[in-house]
Amino acid sequence: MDDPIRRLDDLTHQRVRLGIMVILDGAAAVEFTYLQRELGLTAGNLSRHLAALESAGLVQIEKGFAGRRPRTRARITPEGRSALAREIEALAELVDRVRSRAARGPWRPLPTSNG
Amino acid sequence: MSNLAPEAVLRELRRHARRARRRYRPGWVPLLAFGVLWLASLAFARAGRGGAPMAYWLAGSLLAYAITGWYLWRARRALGARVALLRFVVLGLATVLGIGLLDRLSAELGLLPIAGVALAYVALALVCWRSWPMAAVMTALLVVALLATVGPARAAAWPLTAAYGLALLGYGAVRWIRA
Repeated sequence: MDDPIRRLDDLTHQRVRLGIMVILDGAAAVEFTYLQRELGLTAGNLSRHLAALESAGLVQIEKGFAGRRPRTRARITPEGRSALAREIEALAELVDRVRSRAARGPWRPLPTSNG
Repeated sequence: MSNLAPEAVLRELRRHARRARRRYRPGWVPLLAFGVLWLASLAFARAGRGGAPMAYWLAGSLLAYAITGWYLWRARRALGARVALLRFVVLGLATVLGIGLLDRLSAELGLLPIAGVALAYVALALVCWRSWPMAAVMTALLVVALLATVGPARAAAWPLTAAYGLALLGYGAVRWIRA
């Protein structure tokens, strides 16, 4: 049987990285400061996560200027969108599995033959 | 961090996705802003003045436009939302000028100010948002406003205004919740 835990990707299965990708998935090109504020991260921390996702080809970083001020934007790539969909699907399957087990009642050990 | 419960992770992801979508598709902002404007106009009817004056619609529309424009600008800057800001500003100015001109015309034509304001909203929906559902809502407003300006229905202008203000708020709230 296909175990959803095996389908979780170590690169994307991380709260902050998933958060970044979900936000990018819902918009066109997201400003660095917006991501920082929404996820409550320091600039350095966010940069490290974005760099990891960029090196895997899941996000694309655009550096430019808004007037004289430097501006960094990120957008999700088609590969990133697929990776996010796979991750969410695996997570949802895990949740379903845990719920269905909980509905069957608490776990009990099998009775032993000499007991 | 990878040992978080999947349910908690999914919940947090849904929250992030919803917040981003609400910011990225800000169609609910003008609905709420103009809904409040319409409902607030009822204060004039209750005060026995027979309806909000043109100055109210002029200043109120300007304020609602400014709030909406500020939100659209932020959405475009932060999330790259496709927003026709220039068209929005041009149409906003035209609306305000139009409402000002209607101040003179409405008395001669027997129109209530809300008819002119409603016409401006239809243009707003079609030109700025290119949204057919929103255009339908605004057209319904125009019909209501025109009906309220003629004959015996004129007495029902303010209940209709209230109903329409609530409809705008309701539609805005639905779009906000469903984002």
